[in-house]
Amino acid sequence: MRGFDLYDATTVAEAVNLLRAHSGKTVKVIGGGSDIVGGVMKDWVQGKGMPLPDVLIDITTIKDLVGIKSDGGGTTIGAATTLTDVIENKDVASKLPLLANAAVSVASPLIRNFGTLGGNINQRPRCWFFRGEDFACYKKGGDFCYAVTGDNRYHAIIGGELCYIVHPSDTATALLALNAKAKIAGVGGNRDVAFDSYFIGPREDVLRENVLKKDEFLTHVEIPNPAAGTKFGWTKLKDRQVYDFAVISVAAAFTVEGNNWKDGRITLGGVSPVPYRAKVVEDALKGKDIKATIKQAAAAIRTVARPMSLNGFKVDLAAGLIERTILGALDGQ
Amino acid sequence: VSDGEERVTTDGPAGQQSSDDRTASVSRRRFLTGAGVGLAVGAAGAAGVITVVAPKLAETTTAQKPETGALPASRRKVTLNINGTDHDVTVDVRSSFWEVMTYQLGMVGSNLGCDRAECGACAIVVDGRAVNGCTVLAARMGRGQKITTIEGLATGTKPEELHPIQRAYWQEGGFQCGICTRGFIMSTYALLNKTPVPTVTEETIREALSGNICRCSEYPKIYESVFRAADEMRKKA
Repeated sequence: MRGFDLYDATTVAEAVNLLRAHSGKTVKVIGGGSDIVGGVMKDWVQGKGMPLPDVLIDITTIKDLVGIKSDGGGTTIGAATTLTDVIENKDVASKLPLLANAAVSVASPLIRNFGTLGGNINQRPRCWFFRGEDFACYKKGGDFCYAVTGDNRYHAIIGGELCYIVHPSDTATALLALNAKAKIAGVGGNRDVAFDSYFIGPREDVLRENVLKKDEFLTHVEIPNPAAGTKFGWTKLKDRQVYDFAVISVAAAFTVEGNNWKDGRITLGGVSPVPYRAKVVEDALKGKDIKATIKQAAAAIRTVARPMSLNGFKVDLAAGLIERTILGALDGQ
Repeated sequence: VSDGEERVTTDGPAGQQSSDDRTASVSRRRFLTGAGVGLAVGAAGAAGVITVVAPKLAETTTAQKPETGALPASRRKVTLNINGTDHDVTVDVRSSFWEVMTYQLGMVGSNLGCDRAECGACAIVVDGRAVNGCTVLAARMGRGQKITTIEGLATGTKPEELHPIQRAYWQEGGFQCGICTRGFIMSTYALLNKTPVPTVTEETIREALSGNICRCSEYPKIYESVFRAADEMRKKA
């Protein structure tokens, strides 16, 4: 691993000052570090879009960023809270079972015990060309997407252009369905960004996956309390029974009126460069009897999908999993 | 450090270098010397694979003067609490906990598998939770965390002095080549070492050990080992 400087920030202000002081270098804010240490630095994979850091700023030492607060307004989770703490939290389990289910499906206990929620949301994509040191792809600052001509069985079926990565985070998919908001601190000041616009596709900036600038970092995630009677569904399809990234994941949070769909969100992971909100499916369900409509509504995902040479199967999977997730949520599974 | 606790100061090989030297901190010679002592102790044990006991630190690391003066941000002095003993050690911040434990502290009981947080062979237990020793930076472990490694389980080298989990893996044959076994034992330890000893099912074992991979595919016997260990620990409790 290449050498770097490590700083422990004790407050958000100190972390911002460190970002400012090292603005000329490649600085990374680190949570658990499973991805940046184990996935990036040890493999020496680098490029303009993934420079090896000169400076790491540890934010797990900031007390304010570790922990979960839940009250009448909603739930606030510090970015440096470990996934295990999110899973074991009683408020999350009772109010936001969707998030707990998504978090528990991430990796293995060994990783969840150290990995943080912020790190899971902001991890880099798992595309094997992006992670392979021999491929100077668009996302690494090169001039080609190797997935277009290469093995693209796990790549994007919706919204890929230039670069066909899929967003790797399960918790991000769940948080988008829960209409969460990201709180960001940085040298230019603090700001809040809804998860609806937190993730950005390759057309906007191919070198990154979210709105965070180089001198900014995620501090908290705010999740509004779901309306009473909200139904939650989470399905994650993996190639292996134990831990793996999602081939497709589906998160759903919706309310019903009798047998009919009232309001809610359906989001998909593993299909697009950003966690994807399946508005076409939501619209097809709006006000309709769910059990009678779901098959046809889920099939609407086919109208927006543009699969590549080897990943057409993911379109079928997505349609099937949406149907299964919504029906499962309806039955309270 | 509370009274009565042993405190060892080792600056490791890194201590010999000038403070701004950022080259690799482990020499091949020192590695072989350190590993040799550990293996000798292991071979003397009665039960082979799982009785590797921590060699006394005084034997493995030559005493070195602690580094003086301010360290650059690429180096750090940390106090690692491993198996109840505090170790003062100066580490390169890029060193994983496994590297420091093995190369600088001479604790060679844990194996490195993938070095990418994928296989779990290097698992250690930090504050009761199992984590991958290969990916956790040692510089972040000196914050009062209580670390348990495979060396901290057995009280001696005789079969009856082994931890019930180690004995169960040995007696059930929950291993073939043994490379991954120490990681499986530490994940099992994180699962079972609670009061009261939790009731385990195939499902809870599958979940708790999902971060560990056995290339010999000895999983059925690993399940048996965990069931047996849980039984024995429950009887003892």
